[in-house]
Amino acid sequence: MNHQEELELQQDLEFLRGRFQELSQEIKLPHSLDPEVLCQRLENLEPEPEKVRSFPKWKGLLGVAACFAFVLGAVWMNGGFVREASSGMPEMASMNLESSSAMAAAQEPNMKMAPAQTNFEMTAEDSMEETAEEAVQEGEQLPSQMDRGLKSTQPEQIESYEQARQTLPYGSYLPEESASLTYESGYVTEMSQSALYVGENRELQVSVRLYDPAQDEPRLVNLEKPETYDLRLYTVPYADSVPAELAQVVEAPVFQAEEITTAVLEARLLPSQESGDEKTSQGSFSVQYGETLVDYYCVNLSPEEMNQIIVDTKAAIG
Amino acid sequence: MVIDTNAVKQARLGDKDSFAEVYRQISEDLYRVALYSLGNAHDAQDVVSETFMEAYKGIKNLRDENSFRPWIMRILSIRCKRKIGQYITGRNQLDIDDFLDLTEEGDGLEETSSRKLALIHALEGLTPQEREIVALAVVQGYTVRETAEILGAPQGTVSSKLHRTLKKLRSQLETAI
Repeated sequence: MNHQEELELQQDLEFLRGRFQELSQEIKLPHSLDPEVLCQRLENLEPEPEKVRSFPKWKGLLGVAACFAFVLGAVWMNGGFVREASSGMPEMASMNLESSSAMAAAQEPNMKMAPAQTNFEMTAEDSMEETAEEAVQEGEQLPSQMDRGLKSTQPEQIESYEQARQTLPYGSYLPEESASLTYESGYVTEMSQSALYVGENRELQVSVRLYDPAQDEPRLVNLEKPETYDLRLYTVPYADSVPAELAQVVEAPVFQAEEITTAVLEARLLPSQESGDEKTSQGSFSVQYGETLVDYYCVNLSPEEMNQIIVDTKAAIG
Repeated sequence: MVIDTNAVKQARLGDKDSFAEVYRQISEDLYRVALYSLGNAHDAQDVVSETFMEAYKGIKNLRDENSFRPWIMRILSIRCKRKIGQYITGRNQLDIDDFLDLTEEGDGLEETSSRKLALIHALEGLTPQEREIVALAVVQGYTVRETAEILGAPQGTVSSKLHRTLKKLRSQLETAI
């Protein structure tokens, strides 16, 4: 933004602040949002304990393996552990220090692995499999086993894209980052995971959870009936043009992943009503991938791009 | 209203009364942002009460007491986005009754009301996302950087969107006059 635009922005802000102040004075907090009323809902509820970054077992094992490899390597380099025992000791001491740093790096999720560990890096698939096994062993249930009624919905923020994609069980349903769309933020609960991707005037919100027949089946689309999902058949305001019996499915349709095509998406991603210089489009819909449901809300993504995201997701989850 | 950081500290230790006090200090701001963004009191109440519960449950993860305001606004923003995502493409109508009490009578009220109505109609020309930016940057007075942090969006994007949105609003208001 140049100086002239900044000046204009300030002038617009000053002009509008006065107008909004006048209107805002009339807005009163409804009784239902009184602190006293809301606090009644806190009975029997305690804040969740502070989240401590977990230290996956495989990382610990990795660190131990790295130490072991160093020792073996040092022995080999020195021509034998026994022969070089006395002269090797100082080196081993320094190696232990190095290995400790490597383990510390492994414990810090945001840090890259120390060089000592690079030979032992697992592929993404390996690490995911191992963690999945651990999760089952430790009682964390996979999607099909989740007890939806009893799970906590406490959200935990996921700051990095890598962490979001590796979060079980839903991370693999998140889209890959691209040059024009990068991961911005996300949350995970034991029942769902959501993520926000942004780019220049673009946005993609993704929310993943278990498919719930009771809630989602009424929203399942029959592609042979475009009136259940094609917004182009209706006029704005939709509340007046969409028949009441179709309102639920038209508002939030659920498509089967294998049925999605660019043509289908063209029926959902329509130009917004916004009047401005830039052409914008937005739309929302859900996609069922087996037992999992993903809600998408996007701004300024073309049907082709959105279709590619879904194709990639299908490939990622196998 | 300034947030009492001591109360935030106590709330982090699990004190419900302190949490209620902190919420009281920010509740009107939360409701206003939600109402401007979503355009109706029903949904605004939903998201504010959800935000209240989420914030209480997650308060121990707040690292800096001074960051309570942007932290809870960020939770609200995410809840608003989810709600907006559930609307059929672009819900632009605002429930005027949720903004104005048109039954009031008195000298000069007609003129004031028509000014307010003009602003509401101008807001209807914006998308919910644009209204959220306006609510944060204009109504609440957050800077572009703070607004971007709350929305979880790049500063440049927010800045250009704000600029464009205010232009649009202003021209609609001037046309109405």
